[in-house]
Amino acid sequence: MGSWQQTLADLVGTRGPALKRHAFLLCGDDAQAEDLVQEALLRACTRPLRALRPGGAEAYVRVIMVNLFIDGARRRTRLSRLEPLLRPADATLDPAELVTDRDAMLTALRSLSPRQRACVVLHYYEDLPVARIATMLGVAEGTVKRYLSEGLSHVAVRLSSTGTG
Amino acid sequence: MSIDERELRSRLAETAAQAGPPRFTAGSLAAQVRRIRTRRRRAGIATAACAVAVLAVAIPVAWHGSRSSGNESVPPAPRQRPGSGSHPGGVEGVPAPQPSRLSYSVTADGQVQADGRVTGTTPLFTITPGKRMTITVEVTLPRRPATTALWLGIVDGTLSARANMDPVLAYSGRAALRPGTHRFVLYWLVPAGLKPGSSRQLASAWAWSGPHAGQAETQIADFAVPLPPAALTGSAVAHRLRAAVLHDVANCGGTKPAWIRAVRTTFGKASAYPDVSQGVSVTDSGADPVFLVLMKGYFILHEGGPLPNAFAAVCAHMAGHYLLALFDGRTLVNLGTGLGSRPFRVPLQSLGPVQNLAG
Repeated sequence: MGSWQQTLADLVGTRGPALKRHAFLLCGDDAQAEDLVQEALLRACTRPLRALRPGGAEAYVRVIMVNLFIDGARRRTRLSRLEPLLRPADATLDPAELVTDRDAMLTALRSLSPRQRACVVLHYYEDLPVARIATMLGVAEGTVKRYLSEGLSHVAVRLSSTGTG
Repeated sequence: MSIDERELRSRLAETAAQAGPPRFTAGSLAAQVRRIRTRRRRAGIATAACAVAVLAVAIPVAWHGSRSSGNESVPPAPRQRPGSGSHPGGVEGVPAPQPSRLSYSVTADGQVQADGRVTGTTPLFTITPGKRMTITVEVTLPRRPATTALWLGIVDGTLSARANMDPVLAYSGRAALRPGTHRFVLYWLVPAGLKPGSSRQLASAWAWSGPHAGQAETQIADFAVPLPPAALTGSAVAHRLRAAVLHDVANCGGTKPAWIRAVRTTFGKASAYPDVSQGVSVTDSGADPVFLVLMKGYFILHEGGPLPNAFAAVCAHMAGHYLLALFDGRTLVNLGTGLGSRPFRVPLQSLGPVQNLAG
């Protein structure tokens, strides 16, 4: 078995659930989280000039996940602008969506911008320092601090408005 | 503020716990990674192959362009038509793909001529009317594209696939021919009615398969009845040479030359001049007598006309004001032709007494 195969097997076997939880917080949807983790793992293993090293594999995959999520969110934003035009007038929400919306925390996270959500998840869930997050996202530390502050305020307002905070 | 950081952390952890376990496995991901890597590797190989092909085309084109800007004269062409391939479904105006290249070695009744692969010319054999000849042809087939059929036969001046072959002396096409050298022994009864100076050609037609499948034909040897010695001296040879030259010029679609000068020499001496010998290396046929003919006029391809000889190969591509022709000294068969826009640098006086054939 090659080195990347061994690293991939270890990563999926031992850290797969953690990566999935991280992705779930970013996406807010189980299927999307599954896709996000798989896509990040595939990209990490197929980068021609950057081998997947055992020590830094998980951090590398997390960086790819966050960047994929932010890039994908930009595309979804463009599509969401067209969605009211595409959806029929009498269309009703999927019951599954209604169930999901009941989860206040996920609803609060969805109200954040993709970068804000990434910063909140990385800082408050993954316990990453601000400097590390700034490096991962390619922004200044002050920008990360601003995202965290704004994100925390938005989440607090959302949770208080739903009466769960 | 209704939430602090500690509470946010705990609620995030609770929410994250709602995520189900991963449904993918390391094996399925590894298989996808292998497929992606293989696809990229193939794309890389294809890109590299394209780059090599572009370089292979661009460098000769650039080289040809730099050469042609300096001198537009064309060396004497061997009597074969390498571009005479026909391609099924070809579009007019679109250049047909190059036909597959076959090489030949011919001996006839013990006469061994210079190997055409070495000299670049078509070997010329003398024949006797009414005599049965044994011709041995060794054909070397390329590995790609695969040759699917091969005909060998006699033609009378005009190459047109196998349709003009009379007789067809050999055919091989029931199974794909293996690459490598194949030896054919042919028997030909030379027509008894052939007059001195007349000639026939041994031609080959072949078909190949592959993405650019097609067929082509080429002349691989000349057979000519020698002229009597009396016909090769004085005004008799001048008359015959002039007739042969004008016949070839007419076939070429050119106008009547302003002047025609000829000299009798040997193949070796004539080939000493670069304008004559370009592309031809003289071997054991250097002592053979030849007539070197230079003429000035305007020579251009006659589209769609019959192209029976070496002039066709030259005129098929361009026009020029100066024509050089080399004729065999015993049969007056055309051995090669050169076309140029500038005078050929061949001092005829140094080779022998010059005959003016224009009068």
